[in-house]
Amino acid sequence: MTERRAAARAFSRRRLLTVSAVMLSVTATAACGSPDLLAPPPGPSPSVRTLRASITAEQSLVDAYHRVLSAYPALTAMLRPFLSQHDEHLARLKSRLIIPPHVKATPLPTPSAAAGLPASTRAAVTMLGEAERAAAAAQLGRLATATPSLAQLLASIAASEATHAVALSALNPAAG
Amino acid sequence: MARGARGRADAASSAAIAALQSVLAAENAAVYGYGLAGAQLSGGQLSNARQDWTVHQMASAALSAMITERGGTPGAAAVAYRPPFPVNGAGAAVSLAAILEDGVVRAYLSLVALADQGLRTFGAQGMQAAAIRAASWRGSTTAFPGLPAGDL
Repeated sequence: MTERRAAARAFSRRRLLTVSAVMLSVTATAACGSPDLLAPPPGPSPSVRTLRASITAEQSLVDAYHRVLSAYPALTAMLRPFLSQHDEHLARLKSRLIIPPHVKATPLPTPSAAAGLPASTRAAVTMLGEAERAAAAAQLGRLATATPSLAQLLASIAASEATHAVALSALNPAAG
Repeated sequence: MARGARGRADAASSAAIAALQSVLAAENAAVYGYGLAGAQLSGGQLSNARQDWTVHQMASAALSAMITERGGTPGAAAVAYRPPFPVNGAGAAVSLAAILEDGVVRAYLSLVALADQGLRTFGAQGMQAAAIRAASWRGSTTAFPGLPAGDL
């Protein structure tokens, strides 16, 4: 009986010490300015915002190619290689967008309203070339807010888009 | 604290110099390689090779100056570079030119990973210019110029 009482006293003392240690730890953590556990999770980082902007821009280019090809199927053989590479860009960018479980997935911004369709194949190819050039330039503007590896991916995509712009200019005389 | 900040700045500067040195080495290899290629080309292709050779010579000089400005010593060009295959005809010369430009694109890619925003942009612009030349020599474009296949 005496042993049981002593054991109970020892148990409650151990428990008190444990609780005190936890309380001290919580107090110390709070005093150090650690994140508030009850605060809402932080929003997306600048790099994630940059990634999302790149995905939207890439989607916009893909849409432009599809619009042109719907109107001028004769351009398919010429434009398909460029469109395929944009599909690769888009897939690669999207694969980097990982949404944590606690974050509500917001839809990606929709590309701005489609511009009017050019009146000839030549004008359509010119429009795509200008869109490629603008996209390559815009990627450079996103490098500052990207992580090093994302910056390299964006720079590579921009280089690809720059080659598309030049190739489309060279091909355009063939488009009547 | 100040020592830590200075340490980080020194490390960033060392990384920038090392990346610039790798770009300089690629540009010097391109200068030499275009000499080999040009010897096998004629007409418009020779004219293009001469133009690209000049671009790489100017880039080499500019990079040397950038390295010196940062307190480094620009790496000297090698006396000779071994091409990846015998360059004994126009076809091989054109392939060599494309491969040289691929190497330059990869080298500029290293600048894009640096913290220095100016060098990031400079690197990306260098990638675009070299990728355009590579595509022109090869006659086709690629989805991810400069990125190693293993990263894709």
